[in-house]
Amino acid sequence: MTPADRLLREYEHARLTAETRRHFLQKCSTGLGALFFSSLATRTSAATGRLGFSRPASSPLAPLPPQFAGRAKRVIYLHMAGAPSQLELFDYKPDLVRLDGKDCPASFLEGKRFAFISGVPKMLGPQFPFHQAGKSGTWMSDRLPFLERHIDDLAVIRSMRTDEFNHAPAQLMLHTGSPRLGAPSLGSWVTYGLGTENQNLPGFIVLVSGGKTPDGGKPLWGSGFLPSVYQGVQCRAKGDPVLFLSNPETVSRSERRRVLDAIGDLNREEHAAHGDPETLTRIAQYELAFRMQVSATDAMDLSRESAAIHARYGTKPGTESFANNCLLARRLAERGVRYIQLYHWGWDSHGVSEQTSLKNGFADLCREVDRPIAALIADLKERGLFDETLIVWGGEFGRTPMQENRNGQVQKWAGRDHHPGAFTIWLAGGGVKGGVSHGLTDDVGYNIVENPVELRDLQATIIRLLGFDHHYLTVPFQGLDQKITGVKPVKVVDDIIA
Amino acid sequence: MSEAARIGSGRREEAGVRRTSLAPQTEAGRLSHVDETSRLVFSRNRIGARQPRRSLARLVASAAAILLARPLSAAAPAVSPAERPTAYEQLVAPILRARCVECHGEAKRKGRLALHTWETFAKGGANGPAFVAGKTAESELLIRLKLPLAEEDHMPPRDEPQPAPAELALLERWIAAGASPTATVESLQLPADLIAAVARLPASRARATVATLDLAEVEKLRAPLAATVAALQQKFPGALSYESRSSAALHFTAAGLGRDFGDAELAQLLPLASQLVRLDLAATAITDRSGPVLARLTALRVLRAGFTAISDDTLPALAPLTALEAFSVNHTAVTDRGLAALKKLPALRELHLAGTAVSPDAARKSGLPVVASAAPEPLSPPSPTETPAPSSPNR
Ligand code: HEC
Repeated sequence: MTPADRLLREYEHARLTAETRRHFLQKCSTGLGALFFSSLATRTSAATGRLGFSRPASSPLAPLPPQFAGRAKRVIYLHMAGAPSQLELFDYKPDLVRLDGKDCPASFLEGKRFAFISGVPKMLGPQFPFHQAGKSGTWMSDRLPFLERHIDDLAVIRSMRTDEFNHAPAQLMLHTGSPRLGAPSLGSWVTYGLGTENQNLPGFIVLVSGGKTPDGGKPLWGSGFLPSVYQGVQCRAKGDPVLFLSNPETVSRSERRRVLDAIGDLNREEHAAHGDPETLTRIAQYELAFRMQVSATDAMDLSRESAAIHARYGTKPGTESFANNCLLARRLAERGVRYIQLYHWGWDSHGVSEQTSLKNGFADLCREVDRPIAALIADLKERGLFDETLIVWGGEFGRTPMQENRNGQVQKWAGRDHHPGAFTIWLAGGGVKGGVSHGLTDDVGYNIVENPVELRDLQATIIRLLGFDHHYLTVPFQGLDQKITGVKPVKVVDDIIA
Repeated sequence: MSEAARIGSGRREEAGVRRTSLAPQTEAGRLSHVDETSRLVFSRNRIGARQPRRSLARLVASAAAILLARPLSAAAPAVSPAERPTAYEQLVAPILRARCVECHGEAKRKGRLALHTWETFAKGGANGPAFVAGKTAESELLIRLKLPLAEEDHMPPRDEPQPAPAELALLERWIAAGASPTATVESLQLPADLIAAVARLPASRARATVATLDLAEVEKLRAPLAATVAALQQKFPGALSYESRSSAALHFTAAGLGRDFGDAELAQLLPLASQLVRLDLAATAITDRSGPVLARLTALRVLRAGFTAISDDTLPALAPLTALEAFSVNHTAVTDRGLAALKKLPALRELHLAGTAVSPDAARKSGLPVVASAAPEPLSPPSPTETPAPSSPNR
């Protein structure tokens, strides 16, 4: 089939789907359908008063007030892709020092599945010394000395758990509430619920570093069954911030404008005929891209920052790094972007190579992220943005207190396997109580013994801080009012809310 | 269930939920409040509160339901007097929730007093009833609220956020009028600014959810400025929004407008003065010429003006901003000289001066709540411990 054939076919398919829907709607203009629709019409203006959420399709990104005054206006999510070891950073287990090198008790292994561990692995003590930090006396290792200065602003949750033990499904579960493809990500939900303050930039921006896109791929910032206008837009720290954003060389900005006007007219006609909300999305996206040609270039231009700032973050303009992305995150936060998602790959410390060993690759990564994160916090504080910006840090699951023994072999390097049963994340900023530690794991950090926090609890807590009860941030889809937290019981982590 | 509680339960459909909205569901569905387990509770209109379904079967069923359930006219059924919003639910409970329930609620019952439900509120605490209907001078709650801040018995305790004068006035009016759980908002004949004060209440600190006014009530509060708000929203896309769906308070941010936003544009916000609580002007083109405009935005709680041409000359003009809690003038030409003027701001609890010429010494001496600017990060991390943890030899 030639590309032209394919296009024709696609067009025919789209036309037919639209046709049937139009047909149905027309039929509905008399009879029972009409009754329903007329009742809808009388209700829509009042419908904004519903507790359940609804948003006019015509202005998909306009800011909408939350249900109640939110504590945070925006989110910066620092995802450490690959899952950093909680046992080397925040979850101090002195007993594990004693047990180091001993056989893992059988009770830990019964009925468990691991990604790589097989047979009877050895226990692995913490690889770095721990101490109590700050006025709060929060336990942490010596790997994050810069962040330590802000420890009293952090709420550390040591009792996170998840159902998934492989990266991609676990990342999806964390960001979309479902281990399978097709659900909207939290960033999409949030921009759907709140819109965004800067109409010249996307409301949901994704920045990736560490040399690799996270395993879950682009669905991690997909909009799922929400209109596609809410999907995350990936920006790059190097070259054009957004691919295909600039005009082709021979096309001027005014020509571009005229093209967009013409396409816009066609799309509006199309929407009048078929009423597909995706058509509105398309109009909105074209217009946003046009405005972004100017604003994104400015927002993403790190060379406009002072030398002092670069020194503080450790940034080098024109490269792809976590530090650059942290500084970009601050620039985007300042410009009113609602949800800023960073991914930094590399934390999958299995110990199969120097790169993935805790003593080497892991320690390097700590050094790579420590300073920029601390700089970001300090910078937001100085600008009066910290109190209204929610920062979340963490991976997609935890790591085992046992040393990984891939294929039953003792490995040369110390590493740990995937562990969904317990891990640590922290939150700071907008509405978060600083200096709090929440939840407790057992003596070796294997199981949670106090205040387990599910991913849906975390999502609901983030949504709460933004001013919504998660029950009511919904969209009707497939006969249900869908929400990110799903149908299982959810507990907002009130302990960490200031 | 007590009489009061029964009245309080309205047309509840959810079983096992302690408290729920008072007024019946209208066509609109309405924002009701939140109970202490922070589950939002609302009575569902038979069809009204649901979004349209995609499936045909549902469409038909819903349409049939409309036929059966209500007259074809779209007019809302008349609200009977017993179902009108009560002052307790709409005004009193929200204040208690925002200011007191953290310590006097389900989890903590300081002084054996719990204010989270009508029953417990009416019951009182260790020293007896919290209020005496009609007698403000004998009501423990009012007595404690009005004690000087320094007194140990003052409520809420000194370090806690204190109710605004309007909130105190509301509680007083309600007790004076008989402290009835069923008295309607109308019957109290309250001035609009008292009701508006409740609309501006911060979310409860403990639960971050707050009871809210009836949506119709919110609409009423918004009505006077609604047209202006809509026009400004058109003019400055993305910049102006209500603080929440249950509030008439407004937030304006010029984050997306940048240098296109200057003194002339700011002046256009003046009509919003009574409702504008948060204003973000960082990195805009405003100058000291905006001083007189800022001086009139007296409802402001948060003002961000970093990276602008604002200087010491503007600061004295801010004296009327008595509600201002957070103020940023980072990276401006503000100096030590300007600080004195800020001492007059009674509510100020956060002042951002990073990147200004203000000396640390002057900042300290001023007694102002200056947010410490983070010391520049040194190039090498502070004392990294290199002692390796115990581990087996091959690591
Ligand atoms: C930070 C916690 C805290 C908050 C907030 C708080 N209280 Fe109290 N309250 C206490 C404590 C502790 C006591 C008991 C000690 C005492 O009698 O002074 C108390 C006692 C009381 C009593 C006396 C009860 C009795 O019968 O002994 C009243 C009345 C009262 N509070 C009213 C209020 C009201 C009204 C508010 C909100 C406007 C409020 N409190 C907010 C901590 C709090």
